[in-house]
Amino acid sequence: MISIPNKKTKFPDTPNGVVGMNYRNRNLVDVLNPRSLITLANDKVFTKTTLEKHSITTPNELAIINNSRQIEPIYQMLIRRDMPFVLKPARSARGRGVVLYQKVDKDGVTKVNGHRMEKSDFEFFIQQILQGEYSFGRPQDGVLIEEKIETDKSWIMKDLPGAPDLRIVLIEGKPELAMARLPTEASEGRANLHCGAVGMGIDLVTHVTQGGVHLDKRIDRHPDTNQILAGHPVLDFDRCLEIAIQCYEAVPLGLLGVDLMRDINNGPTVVELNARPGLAIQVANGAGLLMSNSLSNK
Amino acid sequence: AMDYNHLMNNFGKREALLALALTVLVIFLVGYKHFVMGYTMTSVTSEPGYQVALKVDVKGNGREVSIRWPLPMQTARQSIRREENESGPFRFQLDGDRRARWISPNFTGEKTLYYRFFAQTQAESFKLKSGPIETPEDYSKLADYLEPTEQIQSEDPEIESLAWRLIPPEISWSEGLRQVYEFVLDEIEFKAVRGPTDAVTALQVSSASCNGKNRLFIALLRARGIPARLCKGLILENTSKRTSHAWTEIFVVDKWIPFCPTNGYFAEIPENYLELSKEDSPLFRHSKYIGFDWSWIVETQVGQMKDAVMVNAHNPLNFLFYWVSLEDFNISLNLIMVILMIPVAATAVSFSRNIVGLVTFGTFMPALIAVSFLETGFFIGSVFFILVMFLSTLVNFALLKLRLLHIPRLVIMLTVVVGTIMLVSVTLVRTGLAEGAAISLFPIAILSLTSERLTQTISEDGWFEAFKRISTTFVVAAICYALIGQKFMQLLIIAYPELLLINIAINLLIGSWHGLRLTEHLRFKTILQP
Repeated sequence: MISIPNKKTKFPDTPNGVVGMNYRNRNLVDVLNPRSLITLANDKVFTKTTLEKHSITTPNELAIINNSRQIEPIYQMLIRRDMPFVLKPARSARGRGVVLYQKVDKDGVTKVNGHRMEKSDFEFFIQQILQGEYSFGRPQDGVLIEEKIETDKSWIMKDLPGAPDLRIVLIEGKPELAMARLPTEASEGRANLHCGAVGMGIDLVTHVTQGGVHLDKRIDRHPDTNQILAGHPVLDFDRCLEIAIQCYEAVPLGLLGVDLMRDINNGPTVVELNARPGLAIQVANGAGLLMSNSLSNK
Repeated sequence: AMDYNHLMNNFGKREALLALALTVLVIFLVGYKHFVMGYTMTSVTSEPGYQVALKVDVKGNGREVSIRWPLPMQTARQSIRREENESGPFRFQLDGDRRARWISPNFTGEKTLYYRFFAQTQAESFKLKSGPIETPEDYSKLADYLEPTEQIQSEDPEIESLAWRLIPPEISWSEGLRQVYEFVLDEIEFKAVRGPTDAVTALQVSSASCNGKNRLFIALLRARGIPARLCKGLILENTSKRTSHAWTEIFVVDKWIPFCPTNGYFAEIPENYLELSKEDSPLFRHSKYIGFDWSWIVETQVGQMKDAVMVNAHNPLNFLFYWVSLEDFNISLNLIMVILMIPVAATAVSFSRNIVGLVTFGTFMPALIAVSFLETGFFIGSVFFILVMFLSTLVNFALLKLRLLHIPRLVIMLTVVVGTIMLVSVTLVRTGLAEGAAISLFPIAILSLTSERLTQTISEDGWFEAFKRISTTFVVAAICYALIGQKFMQLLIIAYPELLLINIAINLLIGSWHGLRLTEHLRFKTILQP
C-alpha cells in the first residue's frame, strides 16, 4: 500500500472543483510553487540529476552539451554507442525542440520518422539550441541527450501509432488526477495534447481508463484506430503513483505534473516534470482538479 | 444573487481594497482639479485649432502707406480668439465690422507687420432641400447676388444657354446644383494661372484658378436666378504660404450653403477653410508706390489646451502645463498622448486575455499595434499589418531553409519589415490612398517578433492554429484601437493623467480575479454541469 500525503492548504471554492487558467496561476502556481523551484524544474538537466539522487528511474543519460566545442566529441561518442537517442533542449517547454533519432553514422543522423539529416545540419541544430532558439529570452541553453527508452507501446492499448505516456497531477504531493496520453497520426507520434494527442482519464482507485479528450473535445473512440477508449486497466499504475509522490519529495512543487513512460526493461520511467501542468486533464477525467477539495468542503 | 456573490469571491480582497483606494484617490484628485481649480473638461475637449499669423512686408518711401484687409470672420463655425496686432509705427484701425487697416502718414524704410490670431473652425455639411428649384419673386435683398458683374458675366449668351442646359426647369435642388457643380469640378481644369479669371474666359479655355472656376460657377447659377456669392479665405495647413482660396456660397431657400468646385466639397465646407471675406474683391488693398508682400504662417495646434494651461500655470496638478513645456523640446502633444494611451490599450489586452481568454501573439502586441493605428489610421494600419505579416512570414520560411542563427535571422526579418513598410507607405501616398503621415512609429521590431512567432506556430501547430491566433491578435488590436481611438478618451487622459491610476486599479481587479475565463466555460462545458 502506498501512503498518500494529505493536502494542507485550503483553496478558494470553484464550481465543481474545475480549475481555470486564472485560478491555476493565482491560487495554485503562485501559492504552491516557489519561483526559484519553477526555474529549476524547467531545466531538464537539473530535474534529471535531482531525481537520480532520489533513486527515481529516468532515461539513461548519454551526454550533456553546454558549448559548441563539445559537439564533435559527443557526435563521435554517439557513433560508438550506436543506439537510438533523444535530444532535448534543456529549457524548452511543451516538448519544443525535442527530437527522437534512430541511427547515427559519420555522415549524419536518421530520425525515428525516417527523415535523414546531414551531420552539418544536425550540428547546426544543436548550435541553434545552444543559442537559445527554444528558450526564448534565455540564451545559453544546454542540450540533453538521453537513450531512447524502449517504450512499451501496448502499455495501455494495442496498435497505437506511437508510445503512450502517463501524466499524473499532484497537489501538495497528493495525486489528484491522472491521464494517459496517446499519440495520433495527427500528433506525429508526440504525446502532447496541443499537438493532437488523445488524453484519456484514469480512475485513481480502479486504475481503469475512462473516456478521452481530443483537441479539447470529449471523445469515446481513438480518432485513428477507432478503439474504445474506456475500460483499459493501466499496468503498474500503483508504481506510477508511488514514483509521482517520490518526485514531489525530490522536487517539492505544490502543483506538479509528472510525465512517465513505461520502459520494457526498467518499468515506469519519469521523462519530465511540469510546474504548470495543463488543464485538459480535467476534461479527460470529466472532473475538476480540485474535485476532492470541493467535496470535502461541503 | 448567488452568481454575484460568486463573482465577487473571485476577486482578491486585498487587491480589491487597493483598487478601491486608488479609485477614491483619483476621484478626489479629479474633483479637486475640477471644483477647486476650475480645471474643466470643456477646456480641453474642444477641437484642435490653428495659430495663424498674417505677415506683411512693407517698403515705404516717405508717402502715406495704408493697407486694408479683412479680418477673419466670426461665425458659428469659425471662432477667432487671442487676436494680436504687431505693427510698430503703423496705426491699426478698424473700418467697420472686421475690416482692418494699417496706416502710417509718412513711412520710410522696411517693416514687417504681423497680425496673429487663434482660429477654431469646424467642418459643416448641409442637406439640400428636396423638391424642385424655386426662385421666389422677392429677392430684393439678394439683388446684388443675382446681378452680372465684370467678371461674373451671368448674362453672357453662352453661359445662359449652358446654365439652362445644366439646370432645366423643374429639376430638384440637389440634382440641379449637382450638375452645375460637377461641370465646374470636372470640365474646368484647375490651373494656378495668373491673368484674367473671369467666368467667360474660364468657360472658353476650360481651365482656371479657383477664382475663375467659382466665378463661372456663380455666373451659371445667377443666370438661372439662383443667388450665389464668392467666398475668399485661406486653407489652414501646417505651412506658410502666399496663396488664398476661393469658394462659393449658394442661397438655397433660406440660407447660404458652401460649395467648393475646386477641391470637391458639395454643400459642405471642410474644417480647415478659414473664411475671410464674402466679397469679390482683392483681399489686400494698399497705397500705390510701396513695396508690399504678404504670407500666412499657420501652425496646427491642439485646441484650447494652452488656454487651460495658462489658467493654472503653476499649480503642480496641472499636467497640461508639463506637457506643453515638453513641447518646447520638440516633444509633441500627440506623442505624449500616444505614450499615455499605451497602458490604456494594454488594459484591453489584459481583459481579453484574463477575462475573455483570447490567446494572442505576444502579450502587448495588440496594444502596440493599436497605438500605431493612432498614427496611421485603422484602414492603413490594417493594410500594413496584413502585408507585413504575410511578407515577413514568407521571408522567414525562406530563411529557415538557410542555416542561420536566431538573432541574425530576426535582423533580416526586421530589415524586410522596414522595407515593406516603406514600400507600402510610398505606394499608398503616391496612389493617393493615404496622406504622407502614414509612415509612423509602427512597431517594427514587435512585428518582426510576431512574424517569427507566427512562423513557429505554423510549423509546430499548423496553419489553422496560426491563422486563428493571428486573427485573434488583429481583433484584439482592433478592440484596443476602438478604446484608445476615441478623441474623448485621449483628451481625458492627457488632461487628467491621474486617471491612469484607475488603469492600475482595473488591473488590480483583473489580476486578482481567478474565475473561469469566458472561453473556458466552453472548454470545460462537460465538467461544469452540476
